[in-house]
Amino acid sequence: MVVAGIILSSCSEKKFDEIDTDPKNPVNVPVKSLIPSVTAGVPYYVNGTELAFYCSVFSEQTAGTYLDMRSADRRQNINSQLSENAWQSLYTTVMMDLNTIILKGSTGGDEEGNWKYVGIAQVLMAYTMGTTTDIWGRVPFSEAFQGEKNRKPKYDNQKDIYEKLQSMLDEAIVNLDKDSRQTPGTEDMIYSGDTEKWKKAAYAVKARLYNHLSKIDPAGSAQNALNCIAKSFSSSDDDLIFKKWSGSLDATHQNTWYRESAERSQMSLSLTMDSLMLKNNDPRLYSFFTGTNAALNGQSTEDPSDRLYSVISSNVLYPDASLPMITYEEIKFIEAECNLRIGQSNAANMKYQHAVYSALKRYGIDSTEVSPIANLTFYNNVLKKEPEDITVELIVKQKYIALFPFQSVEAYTDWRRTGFPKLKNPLGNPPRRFPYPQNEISSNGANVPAVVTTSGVWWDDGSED
Amino acid sequence: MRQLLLFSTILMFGTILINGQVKTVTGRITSSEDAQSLPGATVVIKGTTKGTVTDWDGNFSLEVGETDVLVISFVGMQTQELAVAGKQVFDVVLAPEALQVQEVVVTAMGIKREKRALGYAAQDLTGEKIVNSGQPDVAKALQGKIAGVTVRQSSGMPGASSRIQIRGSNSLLLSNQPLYVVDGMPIETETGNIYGATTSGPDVSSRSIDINPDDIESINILKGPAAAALYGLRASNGVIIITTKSGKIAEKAKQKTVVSVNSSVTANTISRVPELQNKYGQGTNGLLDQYSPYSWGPLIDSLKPYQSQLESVNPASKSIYDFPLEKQATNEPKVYDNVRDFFKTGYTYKNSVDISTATDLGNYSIGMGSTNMSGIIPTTGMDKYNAKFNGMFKVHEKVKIGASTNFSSERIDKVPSGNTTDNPLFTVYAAPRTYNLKEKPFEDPDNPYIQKHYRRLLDNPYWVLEHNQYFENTDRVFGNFSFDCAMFKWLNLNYKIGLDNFNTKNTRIVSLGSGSGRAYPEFGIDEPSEGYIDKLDHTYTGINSTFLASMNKTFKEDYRVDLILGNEIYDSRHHLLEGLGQGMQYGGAENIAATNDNSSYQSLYWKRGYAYFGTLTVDYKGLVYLTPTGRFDVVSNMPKGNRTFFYPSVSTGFVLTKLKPLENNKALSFGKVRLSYAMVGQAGDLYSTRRNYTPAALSSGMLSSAYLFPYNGVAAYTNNNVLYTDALRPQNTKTLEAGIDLRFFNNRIGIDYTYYIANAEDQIFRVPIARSSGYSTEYRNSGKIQTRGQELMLNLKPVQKDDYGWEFITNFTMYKSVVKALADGVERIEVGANFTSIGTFAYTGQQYPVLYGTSYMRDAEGNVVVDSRDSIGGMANPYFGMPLQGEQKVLGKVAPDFEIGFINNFNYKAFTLSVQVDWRKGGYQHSGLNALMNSYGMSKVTESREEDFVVEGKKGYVDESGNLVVEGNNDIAIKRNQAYYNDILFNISEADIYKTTFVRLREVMLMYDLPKKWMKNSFISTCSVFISGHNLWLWTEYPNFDPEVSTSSGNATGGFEYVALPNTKSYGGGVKLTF
Repeated sequence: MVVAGIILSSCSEKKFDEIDTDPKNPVNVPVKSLIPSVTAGVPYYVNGTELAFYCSVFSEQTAGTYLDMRSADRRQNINSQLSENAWQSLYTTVMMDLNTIILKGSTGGDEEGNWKYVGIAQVLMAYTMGTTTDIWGRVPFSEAFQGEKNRKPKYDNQKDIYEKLQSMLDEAIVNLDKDSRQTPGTEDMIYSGDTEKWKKAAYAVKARLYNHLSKIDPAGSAQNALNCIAKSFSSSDDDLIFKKWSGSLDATHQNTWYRESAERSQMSLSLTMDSLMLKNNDPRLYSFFTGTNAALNGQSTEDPSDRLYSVISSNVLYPDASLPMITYEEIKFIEAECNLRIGQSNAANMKYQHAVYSALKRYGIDSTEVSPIANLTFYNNVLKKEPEDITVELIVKQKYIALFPFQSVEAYTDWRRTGFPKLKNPLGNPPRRFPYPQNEISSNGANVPAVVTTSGVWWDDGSED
Repeated sequence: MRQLLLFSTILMFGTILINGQVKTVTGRITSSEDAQSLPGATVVIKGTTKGTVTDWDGNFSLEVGETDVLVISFVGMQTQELAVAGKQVFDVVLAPEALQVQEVVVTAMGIKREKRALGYAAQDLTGEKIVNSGQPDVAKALQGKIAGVTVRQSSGMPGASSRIQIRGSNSLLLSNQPLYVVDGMPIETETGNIYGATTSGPDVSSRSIDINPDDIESINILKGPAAAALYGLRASNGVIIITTKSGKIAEKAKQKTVVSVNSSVTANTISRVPELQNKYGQGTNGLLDQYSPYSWGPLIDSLKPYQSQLESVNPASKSIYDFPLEKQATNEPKVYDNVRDFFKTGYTYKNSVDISTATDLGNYSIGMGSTNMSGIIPTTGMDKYNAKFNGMFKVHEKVKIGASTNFSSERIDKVPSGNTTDNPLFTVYAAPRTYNLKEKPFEDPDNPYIQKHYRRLLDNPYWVLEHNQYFENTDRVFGNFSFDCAMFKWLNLNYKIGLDNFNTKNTRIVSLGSGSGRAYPEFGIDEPSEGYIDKLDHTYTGINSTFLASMNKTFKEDYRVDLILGNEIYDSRHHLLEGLGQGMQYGGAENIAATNDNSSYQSLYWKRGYAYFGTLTVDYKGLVYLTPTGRFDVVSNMPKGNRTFFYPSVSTGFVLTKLKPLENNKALSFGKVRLSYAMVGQAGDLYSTRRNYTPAALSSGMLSSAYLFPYNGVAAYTNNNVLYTDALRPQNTKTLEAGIDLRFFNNRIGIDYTYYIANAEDQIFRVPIARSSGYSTEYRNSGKIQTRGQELMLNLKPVQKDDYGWEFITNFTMYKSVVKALADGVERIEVGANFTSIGTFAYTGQQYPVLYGTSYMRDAEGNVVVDSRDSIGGMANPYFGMPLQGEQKVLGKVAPDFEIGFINNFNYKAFTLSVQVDWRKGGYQHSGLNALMNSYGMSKVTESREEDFVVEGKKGYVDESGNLVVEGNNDIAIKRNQAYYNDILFNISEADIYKTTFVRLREVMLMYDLPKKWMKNSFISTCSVFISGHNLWLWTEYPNFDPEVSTSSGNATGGFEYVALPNTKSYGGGVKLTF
């Protein structure tokens, strides 16, 4: 009787439901609580970790001189294991959360009308999915993020994804202007809830994505990009940039590239970067690197203690160094390149100069230091240009330096798009796309496109596979 | 028990007609064990079926003839034959049988059964054997002593975790660990599932360490599910039943009070020191480089004294490097023994006292013990204190109440192991051969928080010991109250309520100035970290209530029936509160308040369940025993509406020697065959039935720490990347077990053999799904493991004389757990935390678990293929003639082919010698430490670096489209130089996979019982002195280190080693007193 009583009162289904509820992992959370991890997660996973490190040595912005990066440079292990972590982070963490925010805040969601959050999530989704398709080509998007409702999402064509992203960004711009149930604040770790800046960022992402289509549609892509740039960043104050690192020696919240250099230091000055900058007597060379001992990509000797080769210096890598995602100067370089594509050489030259000066300014170099008196070589080689001197090569090489080191993914995309700069690795060119991860091959094999990494993505060679 | 026997024997003999005889004799039969009367003993006239049984007081009377011979017998006692020959009154004292074929064992739910009645394998061990092993941890003491039980330990450090597994693995990712039951109440011993499996950091002690071996009266192992079925969901991996000492000791000794005192001291040293090369000094590629962490430099003989790098790193910075001249260590070109310099001899002092008292009203035992250990690594150690009480009082003729409590308090100081920059052993093992690690200053004399070390990424081991702290404080109390009422002759009621409560405080203080990054201002690179303080407070509370009603009845004389019905309710809560403070404001800070950035985390793991169960035993004439059981389990941690399960089992024993043709057979003293079938389930992890969100943390495999939230006052959540649904069912193991138990020549030879097949279906694990679905894994049922195994216990007594004897015991364990299926499209899943190049996996069609990692490139015939290209891209190929790296594949199984423990007990007069030899055959481990020492040019094998060597195999290359082109037999002579070990073999995990086969002298003990006459005039009644040794001798093919240590934990234990802490060997002695 007593036993039966105890069981009835303390072991009812209701009590068991209560017991079986994890106090740490709630079954529902508001979008406000999801925003911090995506605003930090997008820069972390796109610009701050493996994906960016691999793109850095593939684009030869650095040379791999230790561990995995050395293998990548030596073209070892370029297999389905290489992108496993990056793919997982993008799909199950960053984009899954972005998708959840969009669903929750949109019509029919449990926080319907939280439009400003939806707008932010859409900008970041377009940025992240854009990078994802640039890296792998065809990827799941329209059927992704559905859990048990679709365990094997199909792979969309890149062309369709690009179209979808442009319309998503258009929606984002509209949503950011709408009245919202809640207004984002400090939980937005990029712009602290400044929706005007998010709108400018949306246009910046649109411009970048249009410009990626330079091989497919040279004139149209240029015109579309220029239309967006007009409404995009007006100074580097508008940069889409992550600044929430810790300046103290709290290793957990330090800039990821800085942490990498402190813990592993797999990357060193590459001969490609070295010669490009040395040739122009680029004043940034000595501020970017600890010296001029460059490694030839693919041929480095293992250098665990950074004795043999110069590495990225503390002017660039320090605990709270900001992590840019799209900068004002990148937009200016795109503007220059697009103007050049539609034959506007004057405008191209002007925007190019503007871009280079902005890039120098980021490292505290003012115009006097690159004047003919102070640095004639740099002035002559880089700045003293007439409209007819402006070439894609000139623009992209300077953009390549401006993207160093954190925006290596974009540098890798530019190389695939334009062929610049010329790479030096004697083992041959890097892959033109990343291999699909083993997990997708095992779990979703029927949908995974059969492609080789030597073939380009759609905007690279016009074919999807 | 005796009462039960009385009933049965009365019924068996009660109807025998007594014919007219000459006279009536009377008598009383008592036991020599406790001088108590033996009710139900049989007295039969030899050669007839005439006889009687004793009454409650052990008295009998029988009509006999003068020439008759009485045969007096009782279960578990030696039978006596006495001639009547004119005697009228018989006072008979029966001695227990030498080998207890009829011994009584504690089975599930504390139910006592005759061993002969069991339909499944059970094996027990006396507390003495546990104590004699000298191990402070019960789990480790079982090594080699029980067939079917495997024990793995992480290292020989004080308080090092251990893992015990019975009959292989039934679960891919759920626990494979047995349930511990102490004095009838389950206690928590497994904390691995709470902390998660790791390959690095300070080890988390197993909570089985809280039990003091000196307090143990006996341990009984319920190996199969049939044995454990009454415990239901919690006992799918077997049960370890521990009975602590009680006042019965005094009863047995026929003393009111027995006091026993055990005291011992043991010295511990490193069990194996790696063999190092002695020819080459610091440097790379044959050249001296005083900055190099490698020993790939020139011949030591060719070196002049050179300036050590420490002084030359930054000559400008005088404050740091301005050492007194005599301390300025230039490197003498000679080898330094950095390994032996670092380790020391550790000592273990164990003391315990137990007081047992018996009175007419009941009995009790009070025990106290202490264990004080210092480890072989300075600063490590353990201080452990135990106290316990176990008592029983008769409040009424039929009512007993009892209480059992155990208290323990421990502090364990440790150092981290595995892949973490503060693992001190990295540089102890790998410091360049000519580098004098011990004598170099490890810190700035002016500022001890500026650490000095030749490695930028790793900590100086001496600095770690000086400034970092890793310790664990645990206080625990567990015990129960019981109430026992013999209500009627046929009905007994028993209620028990128990509490298990512990609190563990784990502290890790990584000091200011630690971690990656040394001061290298000349490169413009980083400062070391500001350190962190991590404190974890773990509280566990478990409550267990059991109610048992036991009934028995005899039908038609030949059938005896026991029925037990019961109920169990349990509740288990783990509450974890972690405080993490990053960045110390000053060196030596020990409080989180003195850190720059602190955050805290909290979790609760709560489950509750109840069950109804029953077991029925039918005994037909002691010839056939049949026991069906059933249990309904209801648990909180399964999906709503699907929380109830039923598990049945049936076991049967058939006593051959009760068959007429085999009865009283001289050769075959006892024979039994047994057969059982059982189903038992296992519930999933907690909180695994609904989708949820989890606190956000951003992390990368290339960075040591994750970006954690909350940060700067911002909390964050993210979608859990595990997909939970309500479609979960319990995992189910079905086991068929058959066995035979034979004793020959009056128990001089004993053989107990068991064969079993266990099919564990509906495995619950995180089944990988396409990550594009938004989830990494889906938590659901899928897959199957099948385990087939054999156990053999062989007990021989080749010599058995009054003054001397020899007993030889063999415990043989052999099993194969095979992954029959995982899930559609899933070929393998990770079992533990892994490196990308090597890890522990469950792999379809393979034994569980296997090592999976990078392999040698091989051609279709399986030959290793070396790189035949002398140049690539116009540049010389430094790896010409060296093996190519192949794909990732299965590289070996972790589980051994078999394990045997051989135990020899010799006695000669007052001397006893016990020797245990353990033999493990097969099973593979990846030795990351060997790989490391080879790649650093440290190990002995690298001494032949200048000899020409041709890799056996073929030569070839991989063409641009990824196809292997083989160009014939390899004839390329290479040097096994830095490039070979460092660039090639280090990246081929297959190169460092080794068999863990070993033969070791596990235990030796020589004991001498002092003659009683020496103590005649003292209060001491017995005194023994002993000397003992542990791990004194080891034979293995495994290079350089002890194959028994590993860095992996949980189900992955045993296959994976990466800079693990070493094992120890020990020798010592002690004294045992009773008075």
